[in-house]
Amino acid sequence: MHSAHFLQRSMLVGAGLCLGYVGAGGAQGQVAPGVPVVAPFPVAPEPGQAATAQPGIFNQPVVINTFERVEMERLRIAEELTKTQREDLAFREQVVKLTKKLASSSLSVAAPESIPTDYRTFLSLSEGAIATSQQYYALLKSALNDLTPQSPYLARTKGEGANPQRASATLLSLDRFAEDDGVSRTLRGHLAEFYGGQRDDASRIRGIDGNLAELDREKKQLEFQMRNTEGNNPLSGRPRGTDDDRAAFKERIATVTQSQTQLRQERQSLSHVVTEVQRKLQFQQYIVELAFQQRYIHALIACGFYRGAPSKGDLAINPQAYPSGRGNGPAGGAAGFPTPGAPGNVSMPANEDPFSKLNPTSAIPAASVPVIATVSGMEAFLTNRIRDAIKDREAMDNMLKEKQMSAAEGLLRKMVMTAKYQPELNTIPYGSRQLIHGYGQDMRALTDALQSRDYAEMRQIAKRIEKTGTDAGMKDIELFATEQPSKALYLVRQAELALKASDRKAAQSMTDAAVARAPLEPEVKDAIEKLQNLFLNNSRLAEDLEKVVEAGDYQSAYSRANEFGPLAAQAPDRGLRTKFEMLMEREKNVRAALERCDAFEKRASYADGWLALSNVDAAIAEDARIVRRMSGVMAKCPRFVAAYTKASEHEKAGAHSIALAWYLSALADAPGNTELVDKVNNLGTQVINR
Amino acid sequence: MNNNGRKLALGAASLVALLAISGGLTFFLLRKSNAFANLPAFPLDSYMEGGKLWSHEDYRLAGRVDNVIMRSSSGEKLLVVLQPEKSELRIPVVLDKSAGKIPVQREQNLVLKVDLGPTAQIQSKYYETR
Repeated sequence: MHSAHFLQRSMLVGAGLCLGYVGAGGAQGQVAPGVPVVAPFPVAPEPGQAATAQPGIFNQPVVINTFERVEMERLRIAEELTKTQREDLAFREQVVKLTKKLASSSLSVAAPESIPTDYRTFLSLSEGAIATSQQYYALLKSALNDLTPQSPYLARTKGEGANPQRASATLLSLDRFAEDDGVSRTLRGHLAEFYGGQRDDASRIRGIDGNLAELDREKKQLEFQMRNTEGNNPLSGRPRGTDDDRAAFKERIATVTQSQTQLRQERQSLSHVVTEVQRKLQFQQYIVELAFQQRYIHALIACGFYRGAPSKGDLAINPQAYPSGRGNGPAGGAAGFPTPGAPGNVSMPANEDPFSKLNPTSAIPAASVPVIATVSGMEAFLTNRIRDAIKDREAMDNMLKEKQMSAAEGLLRKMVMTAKYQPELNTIPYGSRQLIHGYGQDMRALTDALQSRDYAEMRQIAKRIEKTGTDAGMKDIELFATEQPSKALYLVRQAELALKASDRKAAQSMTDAAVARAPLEPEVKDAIEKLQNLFLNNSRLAEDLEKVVEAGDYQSAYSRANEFGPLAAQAPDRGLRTKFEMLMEREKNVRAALERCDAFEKRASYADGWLALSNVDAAIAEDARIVRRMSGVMAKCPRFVAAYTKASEHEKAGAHSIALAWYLSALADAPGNTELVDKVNNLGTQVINR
Repeated sequence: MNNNGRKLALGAASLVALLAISGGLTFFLLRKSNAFANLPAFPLDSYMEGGKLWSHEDYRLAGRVDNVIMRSSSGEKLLVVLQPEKSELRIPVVLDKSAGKIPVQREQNLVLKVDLGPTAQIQSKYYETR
């Protein structure tokens, strides 16, 4: 019951909304051709009062939209709603496409958590750290040049030969740099073992055995002493020891046991003899590991030392130098390496490289090292990697010079993935990094603005990006950002028209679509707010209309006809419409009676004036204006009024002859009055024929 | 008789004749104004207020003919609007066409012998002009 009432009222409100709006100037250009427009009602001033409205034809019938026009409008709204839903899908697709485009233009568009930490650290590195890196890599290159005449960094001729001693000394100096991560020291350790010959741990094993026997004795002694603390002394009868004594013994025994365990473990680890073959294999493994870690210069240095080893001439790399299973796999394969999807590589699960779908340049796999059979082949591979890095750096410098920010950022991403420890990457100047970082930030902000539908922000950022970069076209973004607010406004206006056609569901859908399309646009916000205000105002108006109709207040109904008329005309409740129209008729009758009375009074036909008022419908007979006017007129023709009143009373009582007598008396005061003449004729006919 | 005696006799005779004529005329006039004088006057106020009146009781009603507004379908009756003496009211009287010696017309003063019909209509079968 309540909801039905509310729905009815809502529909009534919806019906009325539009009509108020059609008249408003703001929506004039947007009203569809089929939309019915209702002219305001001309309201006559009350007789005897000055006219406040414009002169016009008063008391004319209410203009109501035809059924066909209203239905046509509803059909149009339904089509508009379908179109809106289609466009909403297209809009979403467009947003996805633009997001993909932005993602392909910059790595920073991707979620921050998916960006490799190395990359972010690299961009945020301080200028001082970069200078230190430059020193470090200068030394590293020097060490390489001393060992490898074929070094890509070599500025000398081959004739100068290698200088392993100086290279080894340089390696030692690298240890003070944080960038080295102790790699050089480890390399020197491997070299020492590699060159150091066979190692024998027999003396240490003997020492450990002696220590173990001594500890065993100590442990037995402690256990004996602890047993003696239990029970009572047979002589004194007092306890031999306290709980604290026993706890102390237990603790000492545990310490001895722990020492024994450690010594046994050490003995076990020393119970082997390292052969020359094993030392070679270990060194080869270390070379491969350095290559895997993208420490190409270190790997190349290791290769140089390997060439100078006692086993010179034997440059074959044992397949076991590669990780488990790798050596037996197909040459050049990537299985078993820390590539995306490899077991244990948590940061890059299979098929989930966040950038592979977005950016072809960012979908660079992590470093992969093919299975290479010889140290020479490994050197060639490493040299190629270094040369690639040198080329990439040169290309990136050129890109930055030409403001090709998108390509520069992509290339930087590639270098981070493939040449992580290369000097070409780590010595990129601070300014260049900031340029790329700023571009990424802009692209990120642009993506955020796109996701939040902040079109003003989008336009602003797109213009800025176009100024700073040349290879990321922003025209489509700008067009999109310009187009959407006007589309959203159009949807709001369609929602207004839907409300006009009493289609609240469609109006709601269209408003939702407008909000989804441009939630932050001030004009759209204002339009929706106006729509809501209008809705609320009309809701109150609908309540007023219902009250007026229920109270039968025809005077208010008529005086507010401009407000109520459109609302009632579109109301789905026919009863309400009919009642409203009836009230309008009543007020018009009142006004017409008063007008007629005015006219008679001007001709001093007071009796006729009084009759004009007395013959109104019973529904308006008690109207205060009529009663007041009748009193005034009656004072000017009391005899007529008395005669007419008595005539009416006798006529109602069936005393036709007496009624006729009174009517004849009244007619004498209002000669020629057609109503009285008719009465006299009717009653006279009855009287004379009896 | 001498001439003087004859003149005197002729004058006396003329005077007598004049007196006789004037007396007769006076009698005639007096006789007319007192038509239906034996009847009670029509209770106009009581009638107009719807008071109970006995039908078939004759009343005397005098007044001026205001209008003749209707004729019955048979043509035997007229509906006359009468303004009673000393009243501003108008009352309808159903009059037989042959009720009087001269036809009824507007502004005529009549004395009517009236009674009430079954539906309280005033009807008259005799009237006299005056």
